Parts: sequence; structure tokens; C-alpha cells
Amino acid sequence: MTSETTVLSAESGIAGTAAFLADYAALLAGCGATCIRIEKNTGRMASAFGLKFDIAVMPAHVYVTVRENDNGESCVVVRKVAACGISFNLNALLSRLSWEVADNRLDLVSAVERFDRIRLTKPTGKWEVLILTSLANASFCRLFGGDAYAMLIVFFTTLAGFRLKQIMLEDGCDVRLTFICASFFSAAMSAGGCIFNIGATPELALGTSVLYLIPGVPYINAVSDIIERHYLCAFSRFMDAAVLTVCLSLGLCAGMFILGFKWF
Amino acid sequence: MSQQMIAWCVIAGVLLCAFVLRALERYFIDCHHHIRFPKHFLESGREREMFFVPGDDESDDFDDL
Repeated sequence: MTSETTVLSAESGIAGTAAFLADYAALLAGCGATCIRIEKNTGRMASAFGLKFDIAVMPAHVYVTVRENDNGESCVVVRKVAACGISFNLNALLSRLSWEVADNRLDLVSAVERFDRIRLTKPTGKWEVLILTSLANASFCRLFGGDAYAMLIVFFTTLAGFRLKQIMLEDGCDVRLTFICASFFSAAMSAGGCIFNIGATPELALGTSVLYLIPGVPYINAVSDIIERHYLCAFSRFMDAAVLTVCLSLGLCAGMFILGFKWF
Repeated sequence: MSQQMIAWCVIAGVLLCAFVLRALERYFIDCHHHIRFPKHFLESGREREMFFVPGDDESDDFDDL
């Protein structure tokens, strides 16, 4: 839904409120929030608007029901979960918006305007993400006891693997194939430490070179959803994460197999 | 050179080729988007293009004679 349609629908009472809350929940779900976070934030805003509210968060859609207290008029809106990718920045901005609506008693039109501005937030630059991910993975290597050479190897192999991942995803490649290729090349490149005897802990470089591909957020969200008894979403997130983990394992094993390393 | 080293070099070469091809692809797309001012590594031009000062007579083309 475009911003214009959201603003137009914001002027049409309960239906507009329901549309706004559904858009909000769909974007929040898309940027990596847990089900309980989506429920709390949207419920907070619905209370501030003086409406009764219910939400069903499904793996690919959100269903929002809004009711007025007095005459019982109700409206149900279904929205597809936004495909915006995990973004902590977007998550924080949307949570702040819900508190501003609740605490400052923003009216619906102002809330929709702010929401439209948030929706235009640009994602973090790809080069910054590339460098920071490489540094983070090199730090992981250090945490596991890797020396400076191993950290350097992990930094450069992550740089190469993550850049390959960015290129393949930009070109619209399947995310599973992308994970297999990225982990294969990262593992194979970092195996150079073992092949050329660089440093004292080359095996740690090999082991930690693919850790940047572990889908941590879906795993954590799956656990949170299980605790809150959102089993469908939990299972969906867990299966998504598990498939990606299998793909990165395939790439790692293929790299080790081609270079003649023993798996165990 | 062992088999492992050869395999590693081949894999590194393939990855390097992928990055170089991508960079070239980007470069040519950029050139295509800037057709009026295409970027070339090497190009030839008239001498007055290098020393042209805004206000000079544009019909003055004696340098090429």
C-alpha cells in the first residue's frame, strides 16, 4: 500500500485506523520483530485511539480486527508481511512511534504521517554492513581463541563471502543458493590458512569463517514466539533459519571436501 | 605445488573473476547511464578541448588543421 492510500484511509474512521494498524504490524513483522512485540505495540496504539483491538500474526500475513466500544462496529484488515529485511533501526523507530501515539496522544493523521516517514527510512549502507560484518566475524574468531593471523584470514574471507552474498541477492538469486555459494567460498578461502600454514590456529579461521551466515535473529525470535505460544510463527521462523543453516553447512562441507580436508 | 594448493588457487581465481566481472558490469552500466559523458580509460580529443576556457570562440578550430 502506498503512503497516499494510507493517508486517504486514515480519514475514514475505524477502517482507516484498522488499515494503519495492519500496515504498522506488517512492517514491524517484516523488519524482524517478535510476535509479542507486534501485539504490544499495535495494542498500545489501538488503546490510545480508544478502540478494542485484536491481532493474529501469521508467518506471511497479519490480520487486524478493530472494534468500537459503543455500537460494536468492527473492521478486519489483512496485510502481507513487508519484505523489507531485518532492520533494528526500523524496529526501534516503529516502537518509538507506538509510544508517541500512546504518551503524546497523537491523532491518526499525525501517526500515519510519521509512519510514512519511517517507511521511507533507508537501510544501512551496504559497504558499512560489509566492513562491520567482517570485523564482527574476525572478533568471533578471537573469542574462540584465534590468533591475529586467523583473525586477518577471517576478516578477508568474510569480506569476500559477504560481498558475494550481496551481489547474488542484488541479482535476485535464490537465498538458499546464495548461502551455499557464500559459505563455500568463505570456507575454501579461509582453508588457505591450513594449506599454506599461516599462523598457529588456522583451523579456527576455517571454523569461524562462515559464522556470519548464521541466521541468529530468526532463531532468537523463534524461541521468543515459542515462549509466547505463537507456535505457527515460531515453527515458520525456525524452519526458515534451519534451512539456511543447512545450506551454509552444505557450502562449508563442499569447500572442505574439494580441498581434501577431513570433516571429523 | 600440492593438489590442495592448486584447488585453492582455482577457487580463489573463480571468486576473483566473479568480482572483476561484476565491477566491469557496473562500470559499463554507469557508462551507459552517462552517454553524454561516457567514462573511458583512454580517449583522443582535440587540443582545444583541454584548454577551452568558457567564453572562447567555439568555431575556432584551427588547432586541428
